[in-house]
Amino acid sequence: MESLIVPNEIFFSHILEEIDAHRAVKIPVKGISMLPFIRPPSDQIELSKLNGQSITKGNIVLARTKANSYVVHRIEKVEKELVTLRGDGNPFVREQCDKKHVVAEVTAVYKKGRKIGKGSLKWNLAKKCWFSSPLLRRFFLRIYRKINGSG
Amino acid sequence: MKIKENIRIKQIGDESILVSNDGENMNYTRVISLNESAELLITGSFDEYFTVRDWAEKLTARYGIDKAQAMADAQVLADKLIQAGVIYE
Repeated sequence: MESLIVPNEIFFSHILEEIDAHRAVKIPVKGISMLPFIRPPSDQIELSKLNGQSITKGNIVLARTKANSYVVHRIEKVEKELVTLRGDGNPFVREQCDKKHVVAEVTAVYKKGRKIGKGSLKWNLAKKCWFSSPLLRRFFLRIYRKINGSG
Repeated sequence: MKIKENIRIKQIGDESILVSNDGENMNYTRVISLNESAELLITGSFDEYFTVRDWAEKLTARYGIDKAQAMADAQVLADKLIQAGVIYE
């Protein structure tokens, strides 16, 4: 019996089967691209099946990008079938994918076991009050990382 | 002992893992990977009470190991699963 590390491709393929069966899944977080809202490695996210409103600006989704990798990022823009994503922790980098490659929505973030559900005050603060400007984002992320010693 | 009702065995690639259903979601943040013998014992023990001796007998029957070794192996697995919150006494 041991800890398990599974390649992303295999892991998400399995996770998507669960989600397709209408079971929400809670998974750990890697990477710092959603700082400061989602903080690895302690935070966890809940992924749920998409609904009619999921692919909307401001929502956080799991998507397969054109670079063929899975990301959990916030939707910045939706233009017909093209979705532009950007991690909260990314000042400049964006990803694009077709709508059909948005495969699940993040509906909760767990911090030290406490659930921050989509639509809650903390969730909406993170969604609406975080900077869009790349320069402001970079500036405050640098401060955040210095304070927290991450990245 | 009994396996908690919210525990499930899942197959990811070649790996068998234990995950828990937290009520709201399937929890993949603390998965436990199972080797062949652990999978054998757990798969056959859902929804029933069992003892370490029951597990040892299954190991002896399946792998032909001696009883003392089987008891020791079964006890180690049971201890780990109790500690992980997978089974309760």
